[in-house]
Amino acid sequence: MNSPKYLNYEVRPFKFTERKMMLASLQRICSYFGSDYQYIGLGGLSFADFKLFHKELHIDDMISIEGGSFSQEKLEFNSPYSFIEILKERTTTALNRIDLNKKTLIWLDYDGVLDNYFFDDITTLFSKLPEGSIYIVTCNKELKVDETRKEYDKEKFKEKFGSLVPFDINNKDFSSANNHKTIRKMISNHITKILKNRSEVDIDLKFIQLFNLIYQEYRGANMYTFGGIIASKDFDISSLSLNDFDFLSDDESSYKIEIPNLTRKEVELVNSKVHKKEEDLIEMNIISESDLRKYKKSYKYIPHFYDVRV
Amino acid sequence: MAGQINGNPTKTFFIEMITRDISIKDAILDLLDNSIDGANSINPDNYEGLYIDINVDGNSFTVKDNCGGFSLETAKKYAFRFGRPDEIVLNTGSIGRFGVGMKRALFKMGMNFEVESKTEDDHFQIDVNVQEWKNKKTTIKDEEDNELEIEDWNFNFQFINEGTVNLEQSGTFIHVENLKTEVSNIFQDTEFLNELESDIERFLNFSLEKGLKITLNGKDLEKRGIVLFNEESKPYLHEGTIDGVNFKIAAGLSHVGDPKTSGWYIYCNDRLVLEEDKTTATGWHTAGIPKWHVDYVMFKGVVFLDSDDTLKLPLTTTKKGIDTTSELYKKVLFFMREAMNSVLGFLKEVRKLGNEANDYRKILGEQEDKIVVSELKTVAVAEPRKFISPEISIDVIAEKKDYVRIAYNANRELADLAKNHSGTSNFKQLGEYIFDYYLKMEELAEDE
Repeated sequence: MNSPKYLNYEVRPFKFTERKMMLASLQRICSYFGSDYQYIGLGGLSFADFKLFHKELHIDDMISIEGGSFSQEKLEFNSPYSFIEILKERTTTALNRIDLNKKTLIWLDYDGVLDNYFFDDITTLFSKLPEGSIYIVTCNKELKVDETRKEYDKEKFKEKFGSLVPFDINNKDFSSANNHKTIRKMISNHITKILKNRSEVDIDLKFIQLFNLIYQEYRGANMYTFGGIIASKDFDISSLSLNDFDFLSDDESSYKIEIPNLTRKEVELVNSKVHKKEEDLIEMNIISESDLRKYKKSYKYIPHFYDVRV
Repeated sequence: MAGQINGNPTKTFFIEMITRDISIKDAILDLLDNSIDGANSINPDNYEGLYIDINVDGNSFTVKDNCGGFSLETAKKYAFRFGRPDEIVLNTGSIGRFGVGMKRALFKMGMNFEVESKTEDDHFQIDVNVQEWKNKKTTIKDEEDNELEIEDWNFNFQFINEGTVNLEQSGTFIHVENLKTEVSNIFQDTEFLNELESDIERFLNFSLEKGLKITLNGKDLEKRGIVLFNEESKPYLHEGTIDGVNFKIAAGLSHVGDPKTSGWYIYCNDRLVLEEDKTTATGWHTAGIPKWHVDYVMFKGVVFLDSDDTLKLPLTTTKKGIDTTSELYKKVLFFMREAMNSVLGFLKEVRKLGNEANDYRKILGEQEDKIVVSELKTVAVAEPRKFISPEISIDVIAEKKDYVRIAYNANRELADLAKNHSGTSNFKQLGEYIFDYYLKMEELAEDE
């Protein structure tokens, strides 16, 4: 939540790409469930997600939670729209003030590593959010102790997360290759548990995972995004027609967002050959196979930055 | 050859069984529950003008109340019967559910007892000499018309005569004499009296708050209940009905006070059955809720479970503790966890204040209005399932997080030299000076 001080989110191409991927899939979901969502996000100072979701999803009931040290005045000043309600608080206390009985799209873009409050927030949200609500969480993928930046071991991890820790946890589950799998397992187990407890007093809902994304910003942190929809027990996911989005995942396998490093001229070349004349393209020895593969994964969503005098 | 074997329990065995697992204090509380059931049927919301006087000494035990008494019908069908007949009509909001409470208490204490009850229609008393009752036999005839002698379990009652009257108003009078030696000893122990006082004050707090006057050996007992902050901070409130039981949950912040008193309190039909609970029974250390920790000392939660059908309440036979396997309780626990999640979330933020956390906790206690348990039960639920935390100055926390402390040891002679050279007046200033100097020389500092 303190990130905007150091980085301008809007020029982070991976973040941008992720947001555009989200948007593409959310448009389909909203067209099914209707557009009367409230959006809860951690807008920071850039409010990039707010601008996008307001314009593209037509959501105008928006709440930004900001727990950093910016003044209320500074936050209000940077807010692009007057209808964005700003709660200068930590998520865990702020979520208590919000009407969570409304259909909600929430993206908790925490900038830190996995922490207990993630789960407190899940308890608050999944105890109340109605059918059709969408929950997305982003965090630093490393499983490291916040203060020391040292990787956890089994004992430290159990001390920190107690009963949330998967039963069969192993020291290798904290490594780069597996840490996001561990995070996913913990979050998704907790969601299942809360929904199950809720089903005994309220309605029986299920969580359908859609997002299981990893990416690393240039010279930046390794990030993990997890999310999905809260739906009724008998809801059939195929009714959302999301099959053509290859970045969605309903299981443990995550999708890595990759962007090729190409020049403007190269992009035009690839565009002219992609899908039908790829073999020719490789033979030209200008674009590597790896760059082509990355390009095909992301070209519909990657940003184009230009230097413009304003 | 075939015959019949007598499967009836002997009275001696029965008395032994039912009195073994209950403490004297709990047995007395059981008796008081009957008085409160009476008060409740007079006016469930207000007990003003009603009293219970308890007197104990080395020779006798006496309870007298003006809480309405019980009818001869009740005495016959319920109060003096062992076990509760299935067809019994239930008293609204009653707590006595197993039909053993009064007898168990009396048998536990002494060898002679008298129970007098006065209602609008009846006035009678039952005198029991336990030894005589135990030996009482009666004869019945079996199918072949043979006379059989069996144990007689009946009690005799008399309508009241002027000579032995103890009650002027509708109520109950219970007197036990010929106390068992261990009971007599306990009743003369001041430590026991203090504990009994404290137990009654805590467990019957709700009734005290409704205006019931309880005295123990002439001393007025005081309500000793929990309060929650209710001003800037608003407790989590939720109510509803599950499987024929009305529930209401209130949880929030309370004084720092004695850490022991933090935790959950559960009332069944206004009787406290679980207090200060910090165990998994009330959701601690389950489903992502942390273990109780002194940082959570301000947390207090209250659950009210009320039902006309006492059997639906998740009570244990001793009325202490909760039957956590009950389906009803598991459902209520969902909301208890939700409440804890919200309140503890706030207390985790307070913890981040570091050294100032304690002052902050105290200031909160001074500035907030309080709401007592009986009010919590009746207060309207404006916004269900929402705990509103007091404003906490994030700036203070953020400032704390933005600063770190750097410390190191240095040779005293050299440090003195550096201090004089830099013109600083103490070592703390010198340390700061050196840090600034390094930042400046390495061109690391931002322009201020």
